[in-house]
Amino acid sequence: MSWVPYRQGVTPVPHPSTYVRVTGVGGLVSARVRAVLDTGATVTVIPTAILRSVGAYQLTGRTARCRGYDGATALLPLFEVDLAVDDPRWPDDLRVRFERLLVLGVTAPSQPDGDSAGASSRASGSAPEVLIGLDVLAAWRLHLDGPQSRYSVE
Amino acid sequence: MAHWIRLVDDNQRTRAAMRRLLERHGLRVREAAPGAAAGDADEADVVIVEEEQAASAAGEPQAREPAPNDHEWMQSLMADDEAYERMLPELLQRYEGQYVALYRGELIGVAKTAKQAALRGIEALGRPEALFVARVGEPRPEPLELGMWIGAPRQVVIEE
Repeated sequence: MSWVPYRQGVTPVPHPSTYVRVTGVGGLVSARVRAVLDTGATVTVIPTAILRSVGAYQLTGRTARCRGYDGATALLPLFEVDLAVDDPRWPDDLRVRFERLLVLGVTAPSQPDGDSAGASSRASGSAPEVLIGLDVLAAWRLHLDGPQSRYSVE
Repeated sequence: MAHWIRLVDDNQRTRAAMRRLLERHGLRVREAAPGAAAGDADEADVVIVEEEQAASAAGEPQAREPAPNDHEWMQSLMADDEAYERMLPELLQRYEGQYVALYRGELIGVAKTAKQAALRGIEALGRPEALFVARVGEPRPEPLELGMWIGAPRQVVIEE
């Protein structure tokens, strides 16, 4: 079993993260971005800036209703992309490619209509990050070793 | 048709590393020499080209307009949804069962699959973009109820 260290130094609490490659239609353009393993996300969330840069698409009316702590609900667009783990620290056979994955597109909070789901990009203070949700995490067995600030995947 | 990789700056190390990586994966790579005529037919899988050349390269349509910022784009996406509803009677007559891609209220791609329609839209735009795609005549799905707390704090920022 190989261990991957948590990401440290960016936030007060180290967290499990990896890198993914997001690919748009036709495989013309792709982007490798950092991704947080987020068991609190039902589906994977990708900043719209990334979706736009690779050329994703939204099928008619495909939306998802999400709730905020204040009780307000928001309809967010769902996009289709191909996504694969692109992290040399992961075993080769686990770098599964998820084709035509439906992901939530969220505009970064720095934008005028920003919402709170892009908290990861705000917190990291740098490039936007993907939140890998349970829809993708269900493909693996994850072992979170909090005391050692590391995780393993199998 | 070859894929084109644009380099904004003439960074030789980046170019060399990219070429090695592509060739390692069995792809035939050609670098467009400065001043060379772009658009020549060749058998390369990938052509690495400088930014000023890429605009006139064959197979790479020129961007018709600059990309809007994320806020404008999101407004545009929602407007495309409404435009689709308005255009539906006409679209049904001409493209029922096919996929259409819209951008800023304009039909920019039609194909038998969603991917192809989006691809044609991107080709028409001349740059990657997240597009609204619809299968003409397909009933609009209900929103997914994710039960997801989108406002939940994923990370904590401590401000001094």
